[in-house]
Formats: sequence, structure tokens, C-alpha cells
Amino acid sequence: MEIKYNNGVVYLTPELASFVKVGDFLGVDLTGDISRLNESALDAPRLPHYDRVRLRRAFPFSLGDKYISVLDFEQNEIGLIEDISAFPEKQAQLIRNELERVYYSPRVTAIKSVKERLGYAFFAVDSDVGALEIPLRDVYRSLIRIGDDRLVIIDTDGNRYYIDSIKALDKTSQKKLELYV
Amino acid sequence: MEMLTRIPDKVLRYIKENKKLSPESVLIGMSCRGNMPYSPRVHLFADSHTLCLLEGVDSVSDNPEYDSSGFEQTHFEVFALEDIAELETEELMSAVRLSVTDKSGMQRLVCEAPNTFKEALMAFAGYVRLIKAGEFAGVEEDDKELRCSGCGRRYPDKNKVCPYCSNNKGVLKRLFPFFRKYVWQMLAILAMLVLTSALGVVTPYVSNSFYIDNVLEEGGKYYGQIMLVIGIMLSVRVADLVIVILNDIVTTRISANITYDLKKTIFESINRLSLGFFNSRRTGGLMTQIESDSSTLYNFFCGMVPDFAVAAAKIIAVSIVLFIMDPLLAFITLLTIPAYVLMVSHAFAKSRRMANIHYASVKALTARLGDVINGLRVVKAFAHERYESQSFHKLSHNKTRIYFEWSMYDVVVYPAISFILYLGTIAVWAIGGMSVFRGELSYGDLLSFVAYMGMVYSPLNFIINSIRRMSESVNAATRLFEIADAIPEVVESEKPVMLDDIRGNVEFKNVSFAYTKSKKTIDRVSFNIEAGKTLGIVGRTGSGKSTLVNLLIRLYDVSDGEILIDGVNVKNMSFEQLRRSVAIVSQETYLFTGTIFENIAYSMKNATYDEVVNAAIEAGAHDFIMKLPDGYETLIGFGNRDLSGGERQRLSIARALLKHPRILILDEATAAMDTATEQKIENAIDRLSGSCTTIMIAHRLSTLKNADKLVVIEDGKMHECGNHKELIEKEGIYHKLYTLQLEALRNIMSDGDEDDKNKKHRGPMMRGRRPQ
Repeated sequence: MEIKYNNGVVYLTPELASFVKVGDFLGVDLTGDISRLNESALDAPRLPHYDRVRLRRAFPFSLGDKYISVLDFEQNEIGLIEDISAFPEKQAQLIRNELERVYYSPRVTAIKSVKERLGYAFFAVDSDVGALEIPLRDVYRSLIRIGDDRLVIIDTDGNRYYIDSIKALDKTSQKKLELYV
Repeated sequence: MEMLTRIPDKVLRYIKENKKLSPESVLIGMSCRGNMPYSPRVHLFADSHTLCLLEGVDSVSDNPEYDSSGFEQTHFEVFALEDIAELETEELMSAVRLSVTDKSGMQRLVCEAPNTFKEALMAFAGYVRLIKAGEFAGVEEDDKELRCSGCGRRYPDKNKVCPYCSNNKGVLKRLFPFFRKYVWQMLAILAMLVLTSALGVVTPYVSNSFYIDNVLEEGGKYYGQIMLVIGIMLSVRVADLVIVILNDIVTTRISANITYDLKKTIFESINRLSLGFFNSRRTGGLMTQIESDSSTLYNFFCGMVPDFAVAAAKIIAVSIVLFIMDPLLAFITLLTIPAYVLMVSHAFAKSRRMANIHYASVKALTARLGDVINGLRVVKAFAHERYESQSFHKLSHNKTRIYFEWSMYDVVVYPAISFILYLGTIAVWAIGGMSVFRGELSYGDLLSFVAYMGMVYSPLNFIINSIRRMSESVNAATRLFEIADAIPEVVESEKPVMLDDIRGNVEFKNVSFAYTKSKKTIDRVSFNIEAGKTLGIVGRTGSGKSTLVNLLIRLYDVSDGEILIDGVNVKNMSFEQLRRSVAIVSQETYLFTGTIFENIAYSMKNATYDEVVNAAIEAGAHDFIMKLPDGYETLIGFGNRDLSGGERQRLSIARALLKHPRILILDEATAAMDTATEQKIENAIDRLSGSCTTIMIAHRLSTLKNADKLVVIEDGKMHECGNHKELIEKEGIYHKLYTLQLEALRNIMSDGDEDDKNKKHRGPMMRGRRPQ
């Protein structure tokens, strides 16, 4: 079995890894000769089985399904998935479900009102989790533009909210945003 | 039951009636929103034996204005505490996840909640662990979520001020103490304002009604005495001018003093605050923020407040005069005011929006320009000149277009508004003209009236604009007070222990520290160093090495355990003594704007030339300093000569050595130097040993090899402790790191040998051959 390996990073392929559900979490079994994966002595040695892994997207805004880092619970990288779709559909779905939970942030669909008070701004919005009020400490720095049309809002508690397309918002919402971005 | 977050009454009723959980038996509980769309609300309870999860649809939302009744259970689960081996919290992108591991090792998800509830959920997990261990002794006040009693919103920080409910008055009230010193000047300003307003009101009367009706018209009381009127007009004008100048002088002085006082307060707070405050905020932004907020306030006090008062006084005085002169005409004039205010406010808002968009485009353009100029080397190296020009051109074009639109708006709209005002004036001319014909109004009075009308409109403009600027100033003041009010985390002991002489024994006793509640950066570390000895701290990047030394000099305070110098807890020492006896050279060197001499002497203000030169020689800095044309008087720092990383580090070391510290900390202080220079510094440090305790942090283990003691830190925990020989024999982490570095070095050497051999080997063979 050919293992794609680059400077300590192992590319996880369906031949090498199979993702399983362990209890409520995503686990992974590494098959084959894993001692070959542990060449770099300083990294935590890889185990044949993990009950619970963490997933990180390398390109969270652009590539949802590609370049997914798989880490153990202590955040040591086990390997990198180049493309989820290379895995059998059932496993791919497990990975996607976990990613969806890890990265889920409410999508703002409309901005109802913005109230500025004492250096804070309160955005009353509609989102896919219902009506929300988003408190922002420093409004200009809490709104981060990704590319031309996307926006990430980070509130006082560190919650993230996404606006997938500013242009797709209604005109009133756009006008309310225009002042800040 | 103690609640970490508010639990709705109906849920409490529900668990009592349906789950037989009485609030008396439950020890702690909390409620939070689910993380995913349509996920139900989560309620957690724990009593002495169980952890209960109740999910259901209920009315509580983050929006306090939304409330309905009814609770419908969607899920209920009980986890027996005796079956739980561990509770874990995991931070997701925008949420936090609570899970339990049972005794068989199976992991179960309890719930996921948005970051809003992160602290509460982590605290909940912590308390459940305590309950399980039988050590629960109530919930700390700090862990309970606090909400504003007025609007029900959570307080955004520990200051317990609800920005939503508190009004501008509070902030303005806080500004008053800054004015108190200047009561007399303020009264003088007020008097002058009254005078200028009065003079302002008199002028149109004298130059119109009085001049035309009494001087120019036959039969007037002062008919023909033109010089008299001119005299009066001139004196009024001169008096007005003098008062305006005087007023400006006094206001400028007061405002400048007040903003100075304000800045001083803020700057003192900054120096007083601990590093933790700045880590939780963006420092770069902080400095510009303070500067721009202070100038916003300066402009507000200096330009706005007095002008606002004059404007308001003028409007009131003129309105009264208008009504006295002709109530009907005054009524027509005042009728135009609401329309005018409406139009101007709208135009201002739109114009401000366009100004913001323009500002953003300028910012994008300058950022790009700055990037290209600073990174010119990279741009050229990758031959991206054309690409950069094109992208600059695009941004520049965009900026020009936005500016044009903005200007066009201003060019068209403001004259249009003036035209509407003009219609009001025309109406007054028409109706007033008829009154003149009917003899109800003199021609001079009509002229005065029209002049007064103008005096109402122009201050109105100003007032509308200043309402917006006033809210900006209040925001600026709030941000400044936020800094002034922040409570330092590291506080000096009120009655510090003064040691006559510090010898330099250092001891860490069970030291723990966490930057955030969720993760310990340092976990129960203990070691000691005798005075005059050298300690090396070894560990990977991010393992907590620098944190250890930051704790020693109290940039942060330990959360558990204690650090002792000569047997005295550092918390009981005065900042002055602690920081005078400990010198630190860190990876990030900071040089102030000034000469090299001043930078080295920063640690000892009255250092002699001799001492400074000696320190520089010891730090291996003297050589390169002497190569600079201005020697020790070379200007460095912002906008002056750039020094290399290694040179900067050497200056920092000289600065530290100059003050003859009892404890010297070198935190990766030689990382940017070549081996020969590093060797020189090591020799200097060796000479110091005996008189000064040295703590060294370095990646290159060869640097630490000679240390009397080495501690190996990994993930905040101390794994190994001993000298080089002992640790090598132990064959643990240190051994692994050391052999790895040694191997790397051997590889380089053997490659070098091979190259040498090849050269020798190839040499004679190549000689005389022609390249093929």
C-alpha cells in the first residue's frame, strides 16, 4: 500500500483510515503497518484506533470538503484528508456531519436594526436559528469581510455569525451594514 | 439550587412536577440555547448523585423582548455520577461541547451550546467534578451569569455596566470632575457667550431697522447722522470681535488642559494595568484608539461645546426677537424649521454613509500602497510589478468613483435644500412686503427680519451636525473610561517586604497558571535554583517556558502555588525591588526611539559612559556599535537606523547587564545571533555566574548544556529535572531532543566532510579537463 507522506504529515486515504462512529463521536481506525507512520520521533506516535478525533478545515471559507486535518483529542495531527469524497459514502457522511457540528455558526438572513450604545452595537437580526440580538464590542473590528461579498461577525462572547452574501440581503439590511463595512 | 445561568420558572415547575427534582435537592443548574438550527433549549441539573439533561422547546431566547409561555420536553436523560469517569468540554468554532466518558471508556455527548454559554458550561463541568468528588461547597459569585436588571441582557464584561441601558448622562457626569478645576473660566466663557449672542442680535437691528427707519428716512429721530450709526456699528463689531477672540483663548486653554488631564489619567492607567489586559485587547488598535478618542474629545470640548452653546443661545434670542417684531412672519419662519431639520438630517446621514464608504476605499488603497512599498523586495523578487500596478489601479479607480459620487451628492443636495429655505425667505418677503404697503411694518424692520431669519438657519445646521458628533464623543469617552476603570490583575502588595540584599535564590512551589479558565498553561511546576547558579528551561514552542519567567517577574500572577525569591513570595515584594533585581531579555526586543546609549542606559538612568560601554562589551554589542558612524550616539528606533535581530538582542542584553541584576533571565535571547557571537555572550554569562542567578530559555540545547540545572517543560507540566548528564542518562524527553539536535548537527558535518572529500577527490581529476 502506497502511503502519501510529506515531512511528518500523513495523507489519510480510505486504504489507510476508516472512520467509525464510537458512541456519539467520530473515531478512526488506522489499518496496515502504522509503525511506518511514526517515523518522526517527536510527534505523538499514531495509534491503531482512536475513539474520538477532532476535525479542522484547512480552508474553512473556500473548501468545506477538502484538506481536513484529523487530530487526536490532545490536538496532535493524525493525518490529513485531501478530499472527503474519496471515502465510502457512509464514512464521508460521518465526517461531514462532524464538520457541520464543529463549524456550525448561525447564518444571518436579515438585519432588522442596529443600535449603537456606549461603544457597543446591538444588531437585531434574523438567522437560521431564529431572531437573535448580536452584541458587538467594537463594531468596525467585529465585522470581518471575507472576499468581496462574505462577512463574518464575531460578537462579545466570541460567537461567529456568517453572512454568506451581502448582496443577497434585502436592501434595508444592506443599508444598515453599509455604514460599517 | 444555585443557577449558573437563569433557568425559566416554567422549567423549574416542570422538573418539580414531572421529574420529581425539587429545587432543594438540586445543587446546581443552568440553561442554554442549543447550537444548531431548531435545536431545543438545554437545561442541565446536578444533584449529589446525578447529572440530568432536559431538552425542550420553551420561550427563553437571547432576545429579552421575546417571551411566551409553555414548555414541551423533547429529551430527558439522567447520567449517574458514579458511572461517569470524566467530564470533558471541547471548544468548537462557535460553540462548546460537553461530553462524559463512562467507566467503560464510552464517550457520550451531553450537549452543545454557543460560546455565549462557554464559561457557564465549563464552570458547570467543573462543579459537577467537585460534586462527584464530594468537594462541592457552593458556586462562586464570579461564575454566576449576571444580567442587567433593567433590560435582562447579559453584561458584556465584569464591569457590570449595561451599555444598552446606561445613557449618555452617566458618561458626561464622569467628565465633570475634569471641568471642576476650571469653574471660573467656564463662568467667564458663559458670560462672553451671552454677550456675543446679545451683540449678534443687536447688529441686524442697528444696520437695518434703526439705520433705515431712523437715520435715512426723513423725519427719523437721527435723520442724517450717518456717522453716528457707522460708529455704533463699528463699535458693536469691534466689541464682538474682542469677545470672540477672548472666548476662543479661554476655551482653547481649558480644553487643551482637560484633554491633557484625560490623557494623563489614561496613560497612568495603562502603566498600572497588567499585561493580561492588553492581551485580551488588540494593542496596536489600542494606541490609535486612545489617540483618536482623545482628539475626538478635544475637538468636542474645544470646537463643539462653545459653538453649540452660542448656536443654541442665538436661536433662542433671535426667535424671541422675531416674535416681538412680527408674530405672523415669525410663525412662517419657524414653520420652515422642522422641514429644514428633516431634510438636513437625512442629507447628513446619507452623506456620512458615503463618507464612510469613501473612507473604506481610501483605507484599502493606502493599505495596498503600504504593502507594496514595504514589501517591494518581495514584489520584485516574484516579478509581480505589473500585477501590483493593476490591482492598485483598480483600487484607485474605485476610490475616485466613490469620491465623485459623494461629491456629486453634496454638490446637488445642499444647494437644493438651500433653495427650499429660500422659498421660505421669499414667502416672508412677499407677506412682509404687503405688510409694509399696509403700513403695518417699516421697510427697515422687514430688512432686519430677513437678516434675523438667516441667523436662525445657520446655527441649526451646526446643531444637527453636532448631535451626531456628540454621540461619537460620548463613545470616545466611554472607551477611554473603560481603560481608566479597568482593574489591574497584578496588584502590588500594600505593605511590601523590603529585603536588604537579594541573593538570588529562586523557588517555584506547585505553581499553576491559566491565561483562560479552560486550559492551564502551567500545571503544578516545582523547582528551585540556588543563588549564583544557572538554570536552563527546555521545552517545545508553546510549552509554557516564557510563561514561567513572566510569572517570576509578575507580569502575571500565579493562580495556584507560590514563587519565592530568597524565601519571600514575589507577591509580597515591592514592584520596585523585584524588577530592579531581576532583568529579563526576551525574544521580542524593544528599542525605544533615541540613541544606542540611551537605550542601554534605560535600565539605569544615571549610568556613566564607562558603565554603558562595559555592559556593551560584555553583551558583545560593542563591536558592531563601533562600526556605526555615530557610535554610541547613533539614533535608532522608529524612523531611524534599522538594526538586525542579533544586534537588537545584544543591545537588550547590554541593557539587562548594566543594572547588575541579581537574577538574569535570558528568554531565547541569543536565538538571532550567529554562533560566534553567542559564544561570546555565553562567556560573559559564565563570568557573571556566582554573582548572579541566571535563568536561560533556549531552543539550541548546546546553549544550555553547561547549566547547573535543567527543567524540561511539556504542556505546562515539568517532566524532568536535573543536570545535562543526569537527563541524558534518564533517556527521557531531554535525551530525545538532544540526540535529535545532535544528529542534525552530525548530518551537517558529515555532509560537509563529504563535500570536502568530493572536492579533494574531484580536484585533480577535473584539472586539465575541459567541461563537456
